[in-house]
Amino acid sequence: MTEGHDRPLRVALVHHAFGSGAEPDRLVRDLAGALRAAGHHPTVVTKHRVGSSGVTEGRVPVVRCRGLPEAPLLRRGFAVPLTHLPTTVAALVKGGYDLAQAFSPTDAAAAIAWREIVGRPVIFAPAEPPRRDRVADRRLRLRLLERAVGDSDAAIAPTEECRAGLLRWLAVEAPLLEPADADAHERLYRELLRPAAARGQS
Amino acid sequence: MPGPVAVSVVVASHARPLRLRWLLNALEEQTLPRESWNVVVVHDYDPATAKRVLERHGLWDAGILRHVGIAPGTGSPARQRNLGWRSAEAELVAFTDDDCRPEPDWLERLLAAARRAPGDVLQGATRPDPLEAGVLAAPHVRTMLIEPVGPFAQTCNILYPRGLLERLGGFDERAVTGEDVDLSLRARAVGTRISPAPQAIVNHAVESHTLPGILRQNLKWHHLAYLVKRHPELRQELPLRVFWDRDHLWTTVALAGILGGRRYRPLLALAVPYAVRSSRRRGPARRERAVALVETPGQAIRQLAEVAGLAYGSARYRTLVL
Repeated sequence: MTEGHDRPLRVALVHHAFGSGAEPDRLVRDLAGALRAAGHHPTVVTKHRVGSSGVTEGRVPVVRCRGLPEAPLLRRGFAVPLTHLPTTVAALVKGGYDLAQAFSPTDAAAAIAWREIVGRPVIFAPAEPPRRDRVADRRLRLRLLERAVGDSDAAIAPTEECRAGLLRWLAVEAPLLEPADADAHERLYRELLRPAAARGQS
Repeated sequence: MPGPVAVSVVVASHARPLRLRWLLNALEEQTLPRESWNVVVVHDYDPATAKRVLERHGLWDAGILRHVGIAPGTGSPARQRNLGWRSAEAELVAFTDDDCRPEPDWLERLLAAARRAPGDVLQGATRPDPLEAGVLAAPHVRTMLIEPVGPFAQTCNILYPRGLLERLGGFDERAVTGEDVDLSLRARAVGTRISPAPQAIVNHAVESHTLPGILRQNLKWHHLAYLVKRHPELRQELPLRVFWDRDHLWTTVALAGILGGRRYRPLLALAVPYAVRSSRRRGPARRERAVALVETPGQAIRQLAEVAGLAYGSARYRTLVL
């Protein structure tokens, strides 16, 4: 595959709670809309049960990944959801995306597992700002967070609050890339894809 | 012109850069005026991590945070704390750990208690961090609950007069673990009181581990035998003067019952106290008992490993502690 600068990119926007109506939805929608307007092909990969796979929201296709009931894991103190991770990785592999942008540590875990299979880049862009009461409140939460920050190819902040939270709680200086700024995202995507393409051609 | 710094906070850090960052954030929120205290962190992080975690922090910008880096793998809690308090400038030295989150009024309360009891060692209260209470649902957790004054005077929340540290020569760097208990016992031996400061609260991390992970983590406890050998008076705090805690006592009794029961069945009754304690570990409700029952095999393996580790330590240091 060539990485021509004009070629539209297939971007997986991985957010398990997309469609739940919460504020992070807006970030994903804004980014999806901006990428689509710029001629790219974003797809939202989610766990949220509302709607069915393939349905488009604002002309952006949505892939819904099933999981098992989370209640037993919740009772045992785990940071849920977790059970959708295998199906999310499978959906990412099947989708043939150029790169994945994950919006939570759990989403990043799926995306990083996908990268280990296909070798494509992963961006961690937390939709909710890290806060002290949410960074280690459940089992695996801190480990997922450390992995999301340490193992992603890039960490970016979609809001100023997220940028400040990443610095304060994770000591990560992440650049602020607003979701509506498709140009800035595209520059980052192509920069990250360059080494991946070089690996593919060698 | 600002007066002298009243209290220096000393932190030894290893393999927990994020938790250290969170500790610094908690210290940044202290209500005690900043001119009255400072922080010394002694760590073994690489320069890039130290710069990212420590030198890009508000306390560093404010000029009240210093850090001392040592070569990776050369540290121990005792050595790092000694380096820390020796380079601290205040007359009072407050110790906490890199997996702790002091409440905002922690230093203010400690200092007030120190003024009421000059010359005393002050032990604050430590509790599992309420922000991490959800993790307590895990079968194997590591955290700390201390209502002062406890027998072990852990360094997660304690204040020493600097003069006393100098007189005692600081922490025993030969001790792999229990160096904080050792120091407090030597302080008591020279007539220093350890007074409570229950309002000075530190929240301790709640970390869940897998069974192999917790077994690996607890390997170091076999060195407690060294501590007991050095301070026989510590036996007064131990059940039957031999067992480190009640869990170890009943685990050993249960093991004896199970092994003996193969030849003489009534001996199996010795395992009953362990089974009863284990079933109540999570609480009296039916669901809690069911969870405790499911967790019993893992807990038994963990406790047996701890007893076996202490038996090894007993042989190594030639004193019996189980």
